[in-house]
Amino acid sequence: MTFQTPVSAPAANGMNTSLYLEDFFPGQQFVSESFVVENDDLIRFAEVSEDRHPMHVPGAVSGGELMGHGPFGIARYFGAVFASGILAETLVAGLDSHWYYRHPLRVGAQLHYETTVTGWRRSSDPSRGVLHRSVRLLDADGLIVQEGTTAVLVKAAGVSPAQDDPPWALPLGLPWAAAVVAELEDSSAFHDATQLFDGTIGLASEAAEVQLRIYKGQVIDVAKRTPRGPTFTLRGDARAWCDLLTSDRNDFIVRAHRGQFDVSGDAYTYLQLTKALHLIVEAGRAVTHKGVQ
Amino acid sequence: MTQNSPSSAHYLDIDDRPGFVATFGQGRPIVCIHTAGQSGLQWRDAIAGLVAEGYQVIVPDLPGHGHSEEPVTGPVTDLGYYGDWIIRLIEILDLSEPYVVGCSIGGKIALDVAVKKSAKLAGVIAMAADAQNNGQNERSLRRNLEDAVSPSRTDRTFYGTLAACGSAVDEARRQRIAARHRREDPQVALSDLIGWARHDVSSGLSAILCPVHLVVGGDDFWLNPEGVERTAAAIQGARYTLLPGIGHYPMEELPDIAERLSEWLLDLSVNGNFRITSDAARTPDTAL
Repeated sequence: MTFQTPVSAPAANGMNTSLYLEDFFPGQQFVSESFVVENDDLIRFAEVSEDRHPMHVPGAVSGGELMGHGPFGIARYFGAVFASGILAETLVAGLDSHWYYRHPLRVGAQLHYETTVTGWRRSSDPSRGVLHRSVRLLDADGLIVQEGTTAVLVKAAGVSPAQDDPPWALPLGLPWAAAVVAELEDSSAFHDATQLFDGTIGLASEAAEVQLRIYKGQVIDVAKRTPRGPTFTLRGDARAWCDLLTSDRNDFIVRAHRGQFDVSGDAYTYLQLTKALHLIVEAGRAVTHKGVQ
Repeated sequence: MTQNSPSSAHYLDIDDRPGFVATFGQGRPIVCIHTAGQSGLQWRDAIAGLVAEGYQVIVPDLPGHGHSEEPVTGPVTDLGYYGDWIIRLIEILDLSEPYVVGCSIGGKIALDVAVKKSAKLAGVIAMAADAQNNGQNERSLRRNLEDAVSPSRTDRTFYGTLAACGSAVDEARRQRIAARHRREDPQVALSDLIGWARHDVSSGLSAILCPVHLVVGGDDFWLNPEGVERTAAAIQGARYTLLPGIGHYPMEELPDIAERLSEWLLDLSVNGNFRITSDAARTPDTAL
């Protein structure tokens, strides 16, 4: 299984085609070749996992539909990544996986993985960093059979300190937010939209969280935590943020309408600040697009 | 539209309230119904081309919109009332076998008129509309009728409209459409949306006798194209068109909307051979 990527991998020198931390950017996508779940896959997975529930054992139940083990979907993903070679030389360790089983894994179904990079940050050891990915297991009709996120520790190409990394690397990270605020600094529209606001806007995903303390049209602090906490927090998963920040246009309101984002805290002020949020997203898109470019 | 094309404007007395309608050109009448909270201005780009093709274009402002005063009972939350109002307008103007074209709530109103009076119509084009109650939370919509509950309404309309336009629409046109929509009266627009959420004409579709064409934008986030296609399938011989790259407002998003409408109208008139024209079939429609 190999991955097809719309971006050029590091020059193939015959030695190493793996990607390093700095080679990734939010919105970068990798699509695996398709594969078919076979009876033999279930038999072997049952042997390894010792999950021999009749629904997973060919011939165990007459008339019942045979289904693959749910964890087979995420387990095979790691094999697909290894086979692709993209992280073969640079993977240090797996960190976490959050996985959802949306539909049964049917024997005979033609499936493939779609990976979207949602961001990265350098570790305290600057020779490596955390790569965040959103993964979907899709069937031939585009139905999401399983999906989730998984983070891995990846080698860095250089050892420069984290403060030298580009701000677009991790949406909602502190450097990203600081760059967004810099974009808004001279925006009279943002100033006007927040001129009577004295509070804090939180932006959050499962991968990062940041708060913008705003007073009379100026962002006066950018931090992971502020003393009195956010007035409201706009939350979406990292994939939703990534899609919003890298799409062709700012369709935040549509995505919020579709439930990709929700708000906690003072929802009334959230509505009041519709224009300000639109402008923050616009600035965030400008920052994030620099990585895509 | 040439300067010599006859045009007129009227305040009709409907339910003791002035209802505004403008007419352009001469020929086969076509009534154009606007979307929630908006006005006949939305059809501006369609008028000249349709007049040149020999149509008389009739553009009303629904009650509470544009130049039309709201009903005695206040903003309308029943699209069936709008349907009846359009039928009254057709009667007062003495329009013979008009086409009825609408978008969004206008499209659903056009279907409502077809369900009630199809034998008196030449055909219907319903854009960005389906027939069913779409399950939107009416309680939430009603809560927003209170001004203090619904802050930054104009900003939300503006940015929501920008996003509701399709990906094929250039930025300047999107901005212009959004600025136009921002002029709406929130009370009226929200009431329209309540009507949209509640109104369901599914049970009457099979009785429609005139040719019908349903059109939906591929980027219309308000609608599931499959639902629109299902509505078309429930109407005998109805056509269905998906517009790639277009959102919820085809008549404002498509620069060549007049040509598109002309093609669709011609198709309805030429190929609408399933239409039942017997007197027996017309019997239920005693007046229009």
